[in-house]
Amino acid sequence: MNNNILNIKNLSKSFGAFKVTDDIAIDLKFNEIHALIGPNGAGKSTLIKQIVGSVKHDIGSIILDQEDITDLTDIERAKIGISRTFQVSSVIPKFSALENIILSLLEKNQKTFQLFQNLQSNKDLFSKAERILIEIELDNQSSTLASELSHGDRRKLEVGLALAMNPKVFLFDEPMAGLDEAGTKMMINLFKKIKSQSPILLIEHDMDAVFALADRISVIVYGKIVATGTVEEIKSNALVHDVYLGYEV
Amino acid sequence: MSFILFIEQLLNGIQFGIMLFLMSAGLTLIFGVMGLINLAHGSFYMIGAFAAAIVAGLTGSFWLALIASLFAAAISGVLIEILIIRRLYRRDHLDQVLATFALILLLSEGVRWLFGAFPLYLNIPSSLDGSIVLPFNIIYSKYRMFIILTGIIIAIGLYLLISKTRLGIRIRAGQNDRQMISALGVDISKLYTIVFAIGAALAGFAGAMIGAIQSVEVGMGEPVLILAFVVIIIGGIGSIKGAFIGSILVGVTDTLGRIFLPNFLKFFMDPANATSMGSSIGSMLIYILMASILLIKPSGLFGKNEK
Amino acid sequence: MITEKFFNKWIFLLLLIIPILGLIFNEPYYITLTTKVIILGIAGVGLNLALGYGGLISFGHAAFFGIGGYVTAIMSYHAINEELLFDWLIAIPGSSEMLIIWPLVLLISAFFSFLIGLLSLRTSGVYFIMITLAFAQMLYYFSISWPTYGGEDGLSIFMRSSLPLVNTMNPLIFFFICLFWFAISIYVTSKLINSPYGMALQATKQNEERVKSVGIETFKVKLIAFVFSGAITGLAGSLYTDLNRFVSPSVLDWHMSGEIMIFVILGGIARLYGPLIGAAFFIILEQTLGAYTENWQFWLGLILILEILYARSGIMGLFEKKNKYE
Repeated sequence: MNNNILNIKNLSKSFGAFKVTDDIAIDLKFNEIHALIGPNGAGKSTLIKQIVGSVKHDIGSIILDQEDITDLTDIERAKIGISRTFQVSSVIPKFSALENIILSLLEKNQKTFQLFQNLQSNKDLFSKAERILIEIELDNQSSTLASELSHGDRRKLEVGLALAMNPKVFLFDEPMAGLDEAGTKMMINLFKKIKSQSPILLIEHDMDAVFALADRISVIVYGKIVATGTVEEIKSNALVHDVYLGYEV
Repeated sequence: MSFILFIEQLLNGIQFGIMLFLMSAGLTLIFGVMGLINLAHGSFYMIGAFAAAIVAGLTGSFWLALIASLFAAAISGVLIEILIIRRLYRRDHLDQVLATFALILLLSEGVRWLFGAFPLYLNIPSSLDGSIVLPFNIIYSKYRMFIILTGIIIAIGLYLLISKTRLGIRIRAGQNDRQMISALGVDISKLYTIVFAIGAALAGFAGAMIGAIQSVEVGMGEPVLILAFVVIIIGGIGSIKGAFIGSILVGVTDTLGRIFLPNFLKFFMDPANATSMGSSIGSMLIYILMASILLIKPSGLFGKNEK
Repeated sequence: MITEKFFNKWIFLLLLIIPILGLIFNEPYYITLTTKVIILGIAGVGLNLALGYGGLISFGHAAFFGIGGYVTAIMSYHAINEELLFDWLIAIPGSSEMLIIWPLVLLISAFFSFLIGLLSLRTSGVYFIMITLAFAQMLYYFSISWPTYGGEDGLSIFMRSSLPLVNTMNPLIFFFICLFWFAISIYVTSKLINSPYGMALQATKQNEERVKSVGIETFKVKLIAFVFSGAITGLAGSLYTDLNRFVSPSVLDWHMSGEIMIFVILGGIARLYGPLIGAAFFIILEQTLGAYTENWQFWLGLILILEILYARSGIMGLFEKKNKYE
């Protein structure tokens, strides 16, 4: 409804008696970067996993672009427009950067089950992949094996994989983790560039990056969203100060 | 189909299951703690039986033979673990499968080389020969009863070992988180060797016990190994409880199935066809059971998710 | 370093030379031996598709080898004895025409690999290995206890299946028939691997989670590889029955599954001609060591263990640098 591309309501998940996500309501608007912050163990990763579909929620609903995807499998959600990066970089190690991107293009271009056609003859796939590499500034590494890329480049490649899917939303799980200052700056610029293509829901610990990037921030503590607002609002929120212990705003 | 026959076959099924348990417990422990799939486990069954047959031949004592089987299997387990198995822990499953398959070839042909292709014999001691009378006037083989009771005692012993001893705690911790226990200062390689040796000893003991009612020959462990795999798939890899329940289930299903299925089919078709179809389906029964269970629970009845 | 393509061309040439030499020196034994290597190589090429390229560790490929073998023998048996198959259900005449048997073998093997794959691919890791093993064992025990087709003693067929215009009993002619199928199996594998689907398959082997996250149905990807794999190995089984004019439950035994895996590993996983090299090496060992001692498999086991521990890329890996798909 209205301006939201992603709408999540009442999302709850318990492992035994432990409630990891507790009645979470969160949304993502067009053209925005919505950051999710919170102490370790607050439930951020589990929340992403439930949105992506790799963990089955107990109750709640997830609506993507007016469509209820609550009962879809993880693969179906990916096909319908949910893209993601992983907390620990996950790429195809023995494929080159270019080949990784091509893999990500297969489904949208309906090539996945082309059994007897030569891959090399798909010039359009190759040029699309090249363009994406240029967009993420990885074109000089196009034939480097993914396992041989630097940490930062691998993170970039993951963003490229998400881009290639032409998705409706980007879900990034700690994309800045392990990056140096230059790498972080590069990611920030990249995200600002791509947010107009699709909005980003971002888990991050690097507060400087969050404040530089986010249009909105949600704070999650013990599985519950305790505050949502703009950077200024969150910075001056007393409750956030109180519950997010040990953290200097 | 008389009641007595049914009970007798049920007991046979339980006896079969108990022996399977000794095999599968080791297999599932080794997988649970070390993450290693060991195809050569059947070779320890064989080694135990051979050791028993040889010692019985030399000394005339069945009991010494049993003890010999434990030692022989445990010692070979330690040797093989140190020489080969420990290099496989970090490898992927494919390497483990192939290396342990190669190990079967090595051990089987090695034993054949040493002892020739003819089977050896192990005799039931006179104290256990003959039959005993059970409630309801059921007459059953004394030796098979001995197997059942011994198996149960070992199962209880294993349970106590795992749940009440320090070693058991380390084993359980190792099943849960391998990296953690080494960080906590437990000597991992010694633990692994011990677990491997326990598994081998259990298998060897089972081989010796069964060796007295079947013949002792090269390759005797292989059919049992396959069944042990079926057991731990059904029971869930890494779960001793699953191995126990799975073994009894497999033992009873297989035994009763083979006996009663042909008779059951005789109601529907002529005796000749019933017998052949019955025994064919009977031999496939446990695989059908396994497939059905996997359809509902892909990691077995009590399986944990594989790391 | 010698490139793989160069190596492959030379292997093919060698394959042609040996039997011709055998013809010249009037030693049909070597022609038959090379034929056996080729047939086992085809079985390995089948497995390599699922295992080498797809990462599916199937320890039950003997099931398909045996299905192909038994379908061929059963059809032949019924043709020769002029009996009908399934008399009580539907009447199918037997046949000993290769042109009829081959499509049937491919279809039936594909069907069984579809079924087994459908059930087994729901599991992964060690469970997958063991469930494929168990399914093959199921067929093995069935073949032993089903008396009609020989049970434990196996089934002989008096004549090799026939092909129009040629005499299939001629060793050289049969060799070329098998070579033809080897070329087909390599061609099909190569086409699949180098297609967009092949990319999805090989990616799935390396990082299934990632592949799923870009929207690819990895179950379907794996199943397709498994079906092609089973069909190719099944065809090898059919040729094997024709080679020996005999089939027995031992082709369904897990040792057979292990041997096919050995061909693939020895030769080098995910190398197109690898299984052929592996099969050749295996047969050479069998012939040379086997002449000295009955217990030659002891040495095979030892060599294998050493190879797995110290020379992981197989024989082809000794010549060529690691290929990127290993």
